Amino acid sequence: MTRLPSTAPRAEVGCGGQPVGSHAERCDRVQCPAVTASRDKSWWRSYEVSLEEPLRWQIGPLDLKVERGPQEWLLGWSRSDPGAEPAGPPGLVSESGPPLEEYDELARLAFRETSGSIRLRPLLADRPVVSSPRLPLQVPPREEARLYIGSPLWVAVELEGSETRLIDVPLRRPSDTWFGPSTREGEVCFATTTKAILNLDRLPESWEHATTPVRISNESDELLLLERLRVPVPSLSLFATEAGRLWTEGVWLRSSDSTEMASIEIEPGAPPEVSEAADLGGPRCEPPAAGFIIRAFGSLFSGENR
Amino acid sequence: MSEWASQAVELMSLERLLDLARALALLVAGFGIARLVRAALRRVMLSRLEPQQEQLLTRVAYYLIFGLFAVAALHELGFNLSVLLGAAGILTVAIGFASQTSASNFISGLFLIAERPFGVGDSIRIEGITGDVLSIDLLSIKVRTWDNLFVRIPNETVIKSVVTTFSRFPLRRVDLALGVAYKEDLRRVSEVLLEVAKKNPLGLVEPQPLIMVTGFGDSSINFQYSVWGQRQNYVKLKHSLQVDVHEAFAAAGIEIPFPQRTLRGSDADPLPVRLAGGEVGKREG
Repeated sequence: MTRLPSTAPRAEVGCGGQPVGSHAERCDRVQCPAVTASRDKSWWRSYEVSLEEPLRWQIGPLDLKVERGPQEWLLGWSRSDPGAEPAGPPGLVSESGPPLEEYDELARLAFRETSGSIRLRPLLADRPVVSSPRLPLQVPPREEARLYIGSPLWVAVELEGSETRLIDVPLRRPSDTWFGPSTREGEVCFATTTKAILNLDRLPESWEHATTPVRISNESDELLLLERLRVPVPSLSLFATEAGRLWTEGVWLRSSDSTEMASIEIEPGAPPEVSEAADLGGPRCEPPAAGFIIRAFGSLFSGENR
Repeated sequence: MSEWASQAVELMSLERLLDLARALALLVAGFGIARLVRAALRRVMLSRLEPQQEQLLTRVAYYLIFGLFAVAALHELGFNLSVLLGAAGILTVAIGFASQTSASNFISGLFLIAERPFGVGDSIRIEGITGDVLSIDLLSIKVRTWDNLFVRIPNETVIKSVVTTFSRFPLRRVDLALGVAYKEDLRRVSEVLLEVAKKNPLGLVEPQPLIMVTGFGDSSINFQYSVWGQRQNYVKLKHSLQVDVHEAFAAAGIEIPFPQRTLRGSDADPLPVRLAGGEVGKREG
């Protein structure tokens, strides 16, 4: 199957060939490139899909195409290579691109009759995410740190007005990793590497991650070393700023004995850094009760790998 | 004839008929009670025990109860049970000698059920046989090999052998032995291998891959390259890693050498060298 180009060029003219700015204000066509270029800070909305007229989106590294037949929906998606130039702001793409069959992955769903509307929704990972700071971080006794880490994003395509989900795929599939005290006990998580930013001003922009504030309180008398941090991402909700950036609820991890266990509390609502952000819907699964003890910190594996 | 008739009449007397009826009633009652107890045990124990353990328990209970009622019925019919017990004892010794292996298998089966080194559905290897366990029965276990053959392994063999259970732990490590040419930069080889593991989505980030020079071989410098993955992805991971290593080495110009031998000639007796299409000549110097 042919690999698609890493970035899809965005439309720069309206559907009448006119400049974007003035045309966008007048045009009613949802698929008008000018309209999408000017409005698409938030790609998570409803779209009308005409029969045999596919729609195509570029969301981060994900190139997604949706086609509607009278009794079926066809979806295809491909991802750019990790080393490729990052794509621009996400949204609809005017060019139809290659045929659906040439996409890396395909889905085909049959229905008695298809309606014309679908909705794109951003989601978080369906497993906990283990973040490894590029430089291990140490939190001294009785100190607290507030980190900002990136949580990988998923996209779901759903039928408008229905709970039917057509696909639920990551923008870029993270690597698997194991989190637990040994190779016999633990769970499979997704792995990310984080800069563990402490300063909000230095937060990098990314269309393929949501920002998760993590507050770490070291309530013990010993130094807390953060080599790996497990964040229960499926229990978090998503919030969107006006600029189209995605944030999750904050997580507060309290360590009282410098072991890998910590009590967890999810700080409900939009984090204070983006207090006006809009709620995009609940988490994938119920969050744990406040104070629930989880295995949150872990040191790198040794000893069993011989 | 008349003697036979009088004996028949004696047998058919009311008292004997009553005895017969009581014996039959005991047998029927025993059969019914045994079935009820078996059904009740099955309902209670099914969620708490493995299917094999539940089956064993219900069978033992059934035959025990029915056996008690059968003995009572025989007693009702006037059989002298002491004689019966004596005969049973002698029979037991004879059967015991004849069925040593079966008895050993049976006892081994009980130990297997209690110890649970593996269960139904687990993948195991025992004495060179690899496959999935279909059932753990009283005398043997049944295994389906991965090329779809049915294998019966006596329990005694299982107890006495080393059994490897592939499906016990959630992770498995893929171990590959690689060799690179002596001229290669070993640090660069390690970097390439690490990159291959990072890019493979089935390979786990933690536990970290292991890349280790194991020695200087006859034809190559040898590496151990180990990557962890989920147990169910073992085959896919092993295949994709080797494909990726092959591609990555080719792209990086890293040679995996064929077995090599160095031939040296001596000054007194030089090696003949034939040129393609030319004559045999001698090496100068």
